[in-house]
Amino acid sequence: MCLANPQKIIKINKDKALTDSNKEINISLVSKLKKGDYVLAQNGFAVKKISQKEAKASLKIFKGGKK
Amino acid sequence: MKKGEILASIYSWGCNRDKELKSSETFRQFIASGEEKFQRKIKDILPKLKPDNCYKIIAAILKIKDPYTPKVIEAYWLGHKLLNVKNSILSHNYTVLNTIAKINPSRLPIQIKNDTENCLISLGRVKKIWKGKSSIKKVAVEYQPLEFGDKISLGKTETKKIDWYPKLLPHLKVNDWISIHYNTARQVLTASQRKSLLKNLEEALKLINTQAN
Repeated sequence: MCLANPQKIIKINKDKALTDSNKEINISLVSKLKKGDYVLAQNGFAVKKISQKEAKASLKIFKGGKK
Repeated sequence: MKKGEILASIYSWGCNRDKELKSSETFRQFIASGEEKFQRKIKDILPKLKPDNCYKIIAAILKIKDPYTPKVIEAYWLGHKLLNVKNSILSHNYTVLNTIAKINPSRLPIQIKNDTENCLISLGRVKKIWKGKSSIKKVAVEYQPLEFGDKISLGKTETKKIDWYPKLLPHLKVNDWISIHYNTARQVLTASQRKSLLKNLEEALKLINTQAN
């Protein structure tokens, strides 16, 4: 998906979460998220929970690294 | 630069991932000018974009050796008759819609709805062309926006103004069917491409609507 970025949640406060890229995102659209989970974030919202493997693969592409 | 690479560039331009790689301006300049000097940079960027993996898988399915063959690139962006419903998951439109598939459409914030709409490859018909001196011109198109109800579906036909780069589509005329990505006309479609894109959109919507909570 062109718009969503993988992010790791490092802190949760109600509907807000702080991610490893120091961004605050709204997590109200995705249920049962916890610290350490990876999500796809789009326009300030977590839109999908993803596995660590998926997140790392995406991040490699984002950084222009080898897939 | 091969035709398939040019096509991949035309569709890839404008995505967030492209922006993350800081390649957006290179794509834009290439599309706006058509100049060859941007081609080497683009050839380096394309394999780093997410669709590259999908091109490879689609090429294997279609038994085509070169993933940057126009037929493969088109299959990813517009759909292909040989990619059945199951394989529609390899298409761009499915990837876009799948990101929000687990969320009840009625709960989606407006900005996510707009993002999804813009990121999707949609089908439009040119109704009016404004000709001016700018390198970016405007055209009015009829298209079906997404409708976010209990499910996500194609809504009633509406008209909107989008960007048109004459260097990219020099022969664009009223009543042409085009593909739209990020409110920019990307390609003039043949009847067969139009049918594929519509089918691809419908299949992608069908697949993701079955996943909604």
